Amino acid sequence: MPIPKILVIEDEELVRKVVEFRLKKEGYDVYPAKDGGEALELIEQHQFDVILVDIMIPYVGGLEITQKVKSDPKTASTQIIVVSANGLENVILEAFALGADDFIAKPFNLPELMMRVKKHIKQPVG
Amino acid sequence: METFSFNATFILGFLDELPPRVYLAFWILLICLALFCLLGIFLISKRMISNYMQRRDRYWNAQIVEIMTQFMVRMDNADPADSLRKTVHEFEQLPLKKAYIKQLLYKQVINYHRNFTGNSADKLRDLFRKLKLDSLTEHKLKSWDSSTKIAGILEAAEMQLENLSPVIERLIYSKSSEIRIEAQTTYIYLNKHHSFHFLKELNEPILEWHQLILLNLITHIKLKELPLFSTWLNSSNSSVVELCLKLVLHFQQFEAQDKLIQLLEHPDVKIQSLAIKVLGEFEAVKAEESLEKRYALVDDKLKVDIIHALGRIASGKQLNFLLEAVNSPVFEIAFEATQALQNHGEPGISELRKAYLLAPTITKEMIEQVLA
Repeated sequence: MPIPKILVIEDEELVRKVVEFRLKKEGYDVYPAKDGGEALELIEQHQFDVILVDIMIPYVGGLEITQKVKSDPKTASTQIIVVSANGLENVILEAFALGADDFIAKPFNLPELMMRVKKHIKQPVG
Repeated sequence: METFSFNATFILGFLDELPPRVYLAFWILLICLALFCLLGIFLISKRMISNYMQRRDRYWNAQIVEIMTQFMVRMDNADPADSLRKTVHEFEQLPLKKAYIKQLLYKQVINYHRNFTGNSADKLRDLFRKLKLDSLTEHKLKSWDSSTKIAGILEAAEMQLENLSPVIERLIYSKSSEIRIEAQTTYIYLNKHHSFHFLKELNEPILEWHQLILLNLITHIKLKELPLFSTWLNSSNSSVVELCLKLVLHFQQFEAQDKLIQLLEHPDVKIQSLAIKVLGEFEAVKAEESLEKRYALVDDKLKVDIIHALGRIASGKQLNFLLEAVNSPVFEIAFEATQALQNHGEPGISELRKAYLLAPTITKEMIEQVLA
């Protein structure tokens, strides 16, 4: 069974590295991206099971990435978890309207984030 | 030397021969050129310094993030105390005596703390304290610049630096409303036990928006001990009384009823109105008589408030008084009185039906609408 692939798009280096480490520890294949441009390149090259995306990232925003992924039939099944420090109702609603599957507000609890990722992975880690 | 002297003599001789306007223009041009060159040198050196600082910060930030990542990663595996000790030791290897490196570390720890809750945030706070970074926060709190002070207060709240409470307490009474609000909020947040004593000595007003922030905070944090907010209802600061009235209502502190009745005679109409509202919400039967007495002495807006409160209390003792108010020439009062009687249930409705028979057309229509 293939190892689930997860894309972590986060501009804060420490957050990205810590989340990456924790996900790798859980046995996932993790691809980090520090901005929207890097993320889109990775999305072209790989089929991800879950994308963890921060809304406020350089070059291409998290919501735009969500829209692109969900509107492309090839990637539409990818689960997207939007992360944002901006927990305003309209931002959350916009994220869901664009196809996000989950929303987690910053500051977040790492074990909770891990549980949410696990929930969105269709196949169990081998 | 001779050549230079010859050249200078030649140039000066040449300039002397120029017409005065051209001579002046020449010197202006020369000065402009010199200024332009100076500006260029200034801009280039500024850019170079900025580039150097960016490169330097990037280098040290990378070092800091690397150690912090190791710390966060180790947290899962190793003994937490040991992991903290190791990380502190690693940071101590950096030249933290240099102020800018310590500043970078300070910013990074706070910034990352903003991203996490739970265990990760706790560990980052431990690290912050072990590295004695709170001394920088204290320094900010003592700054002359108000924006630096505010930043310090917010950072103290973010990192939950209870040890800085005494410093923050002094800022509670600041002349600047921005500093005051942040200091009061943070002080309450950090001292979840006995943190309201400042209300007694507060002379500056607590602005409306400020009250909203305080209310939101006080009603959402877990206070170790909830004070009786009626303690400060006799404050000479109206805004303190206003805030406490809202808190008395929110926390349903019924013990405050006697003090609320006293507030019916408060010189500030806003406080009177709020006190009437709270008494109504508390369904304070003992306040009915005082409310009725005040009715004759207050303006129409407060009259409406009193009738509304009596409608909430609905003990049945004020039916005649309310019936009189139904016939008031002021529509708002008459309408509120009709609704207050309806709130009394059957006894009130029965009185309304009796009044209906004798009432003028407009009052009849109003009663019909309320009873419909």
